[in-house]
Amino acid sequence: MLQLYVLGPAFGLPSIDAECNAAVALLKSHFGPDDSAWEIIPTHHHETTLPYLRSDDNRTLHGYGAIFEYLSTTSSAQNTLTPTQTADSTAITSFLNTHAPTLLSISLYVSSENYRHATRPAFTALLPWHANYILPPRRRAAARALTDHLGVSSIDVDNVHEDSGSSSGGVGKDPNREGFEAQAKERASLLLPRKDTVRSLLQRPEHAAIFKLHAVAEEFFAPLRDMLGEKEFLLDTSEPTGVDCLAYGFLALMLYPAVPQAWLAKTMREKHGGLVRFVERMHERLGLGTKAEDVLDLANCVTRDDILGRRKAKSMQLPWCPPERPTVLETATTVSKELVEQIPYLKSPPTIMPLHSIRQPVWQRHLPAILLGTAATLALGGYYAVRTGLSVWPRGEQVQIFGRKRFADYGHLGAALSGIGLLGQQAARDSAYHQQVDLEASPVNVDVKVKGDGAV
Amino acid sequence: MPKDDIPPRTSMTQTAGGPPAATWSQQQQSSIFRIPPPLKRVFDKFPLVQYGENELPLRASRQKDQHVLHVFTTLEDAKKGRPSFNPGCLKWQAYLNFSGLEYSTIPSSNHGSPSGILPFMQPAAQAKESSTIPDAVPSNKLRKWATTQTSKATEESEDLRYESYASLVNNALRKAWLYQLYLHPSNASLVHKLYVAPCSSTLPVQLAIYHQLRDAAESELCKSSYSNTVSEEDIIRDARSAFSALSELLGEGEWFFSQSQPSMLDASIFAYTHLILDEELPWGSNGLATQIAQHQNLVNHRNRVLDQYF
Repeated sequence: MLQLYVLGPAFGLPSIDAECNAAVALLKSHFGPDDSAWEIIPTHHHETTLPYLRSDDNRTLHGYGAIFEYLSTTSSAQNTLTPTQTADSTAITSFLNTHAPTLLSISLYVSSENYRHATRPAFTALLPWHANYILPPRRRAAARALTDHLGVSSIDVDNVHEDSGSSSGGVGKDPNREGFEAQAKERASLLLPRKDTVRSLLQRPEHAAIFKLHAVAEEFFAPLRDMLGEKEFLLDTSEPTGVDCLAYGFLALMLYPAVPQAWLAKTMREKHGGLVRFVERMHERLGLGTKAEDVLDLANCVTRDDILGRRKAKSMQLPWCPPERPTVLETATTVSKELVEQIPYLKSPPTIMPLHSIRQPVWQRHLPAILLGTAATLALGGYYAVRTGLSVWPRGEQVQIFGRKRFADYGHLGAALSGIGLLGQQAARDSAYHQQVDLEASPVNVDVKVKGDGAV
Repeated sequence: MPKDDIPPRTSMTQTAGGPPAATWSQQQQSSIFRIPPPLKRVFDKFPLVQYGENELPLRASRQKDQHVLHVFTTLEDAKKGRPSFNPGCLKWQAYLNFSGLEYSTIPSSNHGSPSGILPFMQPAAQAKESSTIPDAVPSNKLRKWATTQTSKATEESEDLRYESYASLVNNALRKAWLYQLYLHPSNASLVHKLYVAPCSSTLPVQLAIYHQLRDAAESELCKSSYSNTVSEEDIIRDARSAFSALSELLGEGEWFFSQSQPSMLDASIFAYTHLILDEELPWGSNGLATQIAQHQNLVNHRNRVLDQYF
């Protein structure tokens, strides 16, 4: 039996993640109503690429692309596409992967209103308590990094440093007076009719950014709509293919979630009805509607028959399994690992998982560890040696003579040096200068100065 | 005035009227702003000497009558107008060649560019003796600029699938290129030769530059992944399917989308295929070349562009 691990259901869709949605749609279209061949397990792991599929021979395939390739190589049904269709499928897949994540990131994660009122609550229902502090903020950070170049951060109000001037009573100001002024202003603004001018509307940050966002959305929707045209599926096939499932995964998350700033769904409904109909067609045909509560209720089931019975009772159309439950040990390790990651310089860098074993030499691979280890050994060894008396800490000369003032006091070399007249002169000049400076600077010497003046 | 028990400051205020005390208080007031004598002696000599403006360095470009494209290249290659070794630059070089513009190339680095990214174009001065130098054209405005300069503008295909095939180049091929060049351990010497050695000859600086390049490539590859990991297998698979899709699109045609003239898409695909197939680059490991070699029409396309436009 194939096991598909996804992030849990939300917004009436099988998953809160686009690629997970696509993978569910793909498996559903591949196996049809036959529920015995595969099952979906909601998971909360953030360190592996989701979705992943565990096959019968215990191989794990990470990401939609790998799952799609696995299914098309193991079954003969998918190989009916012509070479042109295959090429188009590759191109559209790449197009989706280039543009759609950016839009989804902005809509669900970067926009603070949507994040706070839709995405975050959806995650809260799904995840175990500790993952709620780790996974959503991480995805939000990744989304911000992905959309950094667009400069639409103004819709991300959390990021703006709001100066709270009224909270801190400045020094030297009368706090009561300031409070009174602020109150008077508030009252006055209540008296005036509050009207949004075009200018003030445009100046609100979410509106200014929305112009840019609409342009980005058009870049994605318009070519996709043209490619779909009046066809039922993207490649003009009778059955949905892999690329249709991927398109569904992204578009459904743009269309269905009820978010406070619904500009993305609005653009789609108003201008690209063809795409909306496509998503609804896929949704109906594959029966992908999911109630999150029903899936989470499965956690109470103990036996397999229990699960099957519950599925039937709730008339679930997908082979859901109870969510993975973290053990106490797992929670503890994840939390501590995450805490360590928060320390600067200890954050794990992005990694590329190599296909073959790494061909780098050993010393290069472990260079930081080797350097750290050497430094620590040297320090510890030095400390031990000093402590036990193996080596002696330099403490200066055995006999210390105080009051050395002239070069001659410093042995033969000093005597030789004192012979150099230039140095002596220099020293004399320096000391004279210092004396002068002292005279000018020190107020105690006032009277000396005045006497001089009097003499002149 | 004799020394007494009163501290100097209070005595000063008390005897403010007397002439000696007035002298003192003047000094006290001015001393806050007075420059220390050694510094004053230096400042007295200002302005020291005003030298004339330095001449531009000998290597600076003086070709004011010709458009100059700043790209990643070597001095010898620039003289012969050979292709740049950076795909982003080569794309524009090919595009400008397609549109028949006369220009010369010059080696530069990202620090030299007004936008921070190469290539950029320094257009020729309008009049021979005019002192005003036209503003540099960054790469994102290069296309618009090219259409104003020449009547023989290249036409882009109106095909519905154009955007999706273009994304194939910018997504799959670019990622595969980044991975193969910057992150594959056996190509470290090539990166060193192309990007690190021209910047500095000091070992610590070179190491730092190399690690910066690697980190930049890594974070670029992992940007779209939430889990911060990308598997090499995915990158290679995407590149393989991208090449076969492009080969299928080209078919037996001369240019992509059966255009009569090469277009932007041809330029951007040529930028990658040429560099991957270029035998003069000392690759340590070049898996992409074996992938392209399976599609003879892509190899022919590259040779066609190279023969006709370079």
